[in-house]
Amino acid sequence: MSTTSLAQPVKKAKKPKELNAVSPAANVIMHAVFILLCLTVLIPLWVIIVASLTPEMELIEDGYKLYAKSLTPEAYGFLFREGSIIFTAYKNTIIATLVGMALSVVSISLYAYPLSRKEFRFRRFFTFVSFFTMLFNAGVVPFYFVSRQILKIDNSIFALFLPLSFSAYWVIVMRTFYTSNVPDGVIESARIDGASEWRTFIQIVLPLAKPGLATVALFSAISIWNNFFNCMLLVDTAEHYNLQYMIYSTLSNARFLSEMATQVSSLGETIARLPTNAFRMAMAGVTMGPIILAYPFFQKYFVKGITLGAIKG
Amino acid sequence: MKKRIIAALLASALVMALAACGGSAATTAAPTTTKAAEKTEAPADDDGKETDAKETDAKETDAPATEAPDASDLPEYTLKYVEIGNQDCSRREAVEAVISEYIKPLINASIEFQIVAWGDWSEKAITALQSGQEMDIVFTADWQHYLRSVQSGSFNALNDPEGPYGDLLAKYGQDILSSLNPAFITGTQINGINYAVPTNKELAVPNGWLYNIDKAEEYGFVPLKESEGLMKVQDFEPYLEKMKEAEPSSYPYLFSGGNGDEPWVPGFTNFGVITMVQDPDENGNFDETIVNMWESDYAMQLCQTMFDWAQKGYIHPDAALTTFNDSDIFKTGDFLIYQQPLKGNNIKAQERVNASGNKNLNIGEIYGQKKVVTTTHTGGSMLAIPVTSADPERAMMYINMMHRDTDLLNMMLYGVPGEDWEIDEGDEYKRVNIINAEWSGAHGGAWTFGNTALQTPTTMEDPEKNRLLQEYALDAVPHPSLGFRFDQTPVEALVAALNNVRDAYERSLYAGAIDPVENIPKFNDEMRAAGLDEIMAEVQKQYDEWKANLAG
Repeated sequence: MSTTSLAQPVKKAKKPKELNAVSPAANVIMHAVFILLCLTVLIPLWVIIVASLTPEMELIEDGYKLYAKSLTPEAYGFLFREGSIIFTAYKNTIIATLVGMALSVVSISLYAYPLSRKEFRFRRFFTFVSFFTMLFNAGVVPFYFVSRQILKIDNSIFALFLPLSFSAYWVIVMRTFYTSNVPDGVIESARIDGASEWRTFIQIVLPLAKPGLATVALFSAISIWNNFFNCMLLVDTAEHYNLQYMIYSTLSNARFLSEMATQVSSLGETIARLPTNAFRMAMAGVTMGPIILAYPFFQKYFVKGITLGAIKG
Repeated sequence: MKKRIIAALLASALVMALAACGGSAATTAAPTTTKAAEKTEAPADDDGKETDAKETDAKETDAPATEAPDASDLPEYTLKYVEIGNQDCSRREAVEAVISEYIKPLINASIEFQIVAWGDWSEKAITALQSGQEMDIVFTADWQHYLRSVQSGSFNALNDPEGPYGDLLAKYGQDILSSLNPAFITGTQINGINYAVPTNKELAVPNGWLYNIDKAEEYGFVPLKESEGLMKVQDFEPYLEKMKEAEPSSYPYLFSGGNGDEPWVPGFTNFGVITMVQDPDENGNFDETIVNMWESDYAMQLCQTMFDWAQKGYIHPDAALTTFNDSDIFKTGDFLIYQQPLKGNNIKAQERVNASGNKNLNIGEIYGQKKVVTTTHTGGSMLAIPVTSADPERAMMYINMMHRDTDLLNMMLYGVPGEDWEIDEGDEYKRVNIINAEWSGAHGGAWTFGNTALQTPTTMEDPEKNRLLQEYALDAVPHPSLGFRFDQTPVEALVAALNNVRDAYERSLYAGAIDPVENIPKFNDEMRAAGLDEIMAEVQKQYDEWKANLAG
């Protein structure tokens, strides 16, 4: 709207000011603020990438910088060396994210839909059941017990996504989304046309709920991609590690060891064997990988979700 | 009707909520109750095991030449070995296979390793112990919940003749007993009983400093050798000044979180503040008064020196931050003095140079303390047999082999012979040449495995290193508190409060970031407010009890 008027400055002078137009001063200020915000996100990323390519000695002597005097791919070479578990971890993370995302979209959309229908008798009860888990949980030891000894998902790829593939929070969000974006009138008309409950859900409700589903998909994908805790607790073998756990354990080892070093004499040498700074940065960079691409892909649904509605006029 | 249902729902929700809130309390309570149950069940079980034990004893007396029973008599068994380290790696299965093949004819067992990361240990390994997961050999140490695991009944007693498995150490651990310095055994006992086998490693760990020999020569610094006497941190001042003058951008005193001529018994309590003097006087007498180290003149003088040095720029301005990375600066060699606990014979210096990857470093050692054996260094690395082990005897046989068998130790350390490492034939000492460091970088390191003197060093190490390490401790004096472990459970909350106060002051004082004249009295006041006196009384009480127990 206002961009077209900016592109043609000559016409702009003649045209009376548009009703919703932003004054040039405000425009400049807003752009400046958003550019600054973008920079606060981009600069750390840039520093990570530069640091991962800087020779270790230079990094120690000069610290982290925006540019490096010399570049070396050494850290990446070490990261992707033969036999490195990073390949397995990458594969595990991607599979877990895709499967977990699909599973959570299915389970959340199915659970939330009946809760949004006023004629469902037990909706309060089932809302409460899922809401309750948001407020209270039993803690780590029971979780450990149940996952390992009852569900037996330890040391398998299931440990990486199964505990995360249902979320009470997103059930509540989806329920609200259904109630506000899928009007009763639409469902009623489907029923009058003779559609069964499943048909109504799949062909009428789900397409209308696409933006909501996209949100659930994106956030569950991110939470699975970023989760290291389940891997830490439930996975003992390298073949089922995920990327975030590898990063997390490298950093937590470094922190733990340097805290203990003054107490335990033998640890000094162990600390000095820890991965280099450049290596840690390379790992951080690699971990961001494909998940960044998820954002632009889902973005179009977010925009649609704002601009589209079911009943026009 | 509807209202009643809602009321019932609410009531049940409340009960569930309470149960959930009580979750953490329940988990701590659970082990004790199950323990009690076990105890009542135990006697019946005991008898059976006792007779078993007697039978094997009888066998042994029949054939004294073979100390362990013949492998073919034993049923097949898989040992689960939980080791501390960096991360699991892709070579693990190959290493397990080669070790299993090796130990099969000896003890008819195969082995499975699980490497738990340093930082995850408290959460993962301890949770596994508490939840009763089956394992046979598990790493433990005083700095990794040894006392607590013993108290919660997670570990088998190893030399308790009354215990369910009898004196395992005497029956299957003869090589352990014959090769370990006796101070290791007494130092790791709790009420006279060992719950873990200590690793045979450095025993005397005097504090001191590493110094950069090249820089020392440049600035005319000639430190005393260990045989010539001990040094004090203040002795370095003139040379630090010279280096700072010549190289204004450097920080000649590299700080690693402590000091070097510290007179206190390290790890006397796990929060440092309450301790006693370590070194004996000229007549060899020890002072066993329990003190608050922050009220001593020593602490005041040291912190004044550090404050002065920080002002003059001898110490890095970031040194007070916990994120300060001293090993990185060590790597560059841009320092004169670097505080470190030492192990004698320049071994620490070598290890640090090797680990740094900068072979051009020329590092020497300066000693600040006498050789005294304290609890914390005997229990720095141990192997325990959890009560969940189905065959503790086999586990003990395996641990015993780690104190006897060089081939086994080398495989555990470096991986598959021929693939991960080989003996360097060109080397006159036949040291190990590492081909693939995947496995050797994954586990906790040489000092977590059995007898370090039997391990073959790598081509990067001094061939005499392991022998020297153990010889160094031969003339070390045991401290009277050797074997004392403070149990902080009775004053848990106070200790937590004390540690919060310590976090606010200690590192800043050591690194000279704040003025000690003003801050040490404030620090002491705050610690007293947090309950220092009560904790001190508890330490004194436990020490007296322990002492009386020892005498009686």
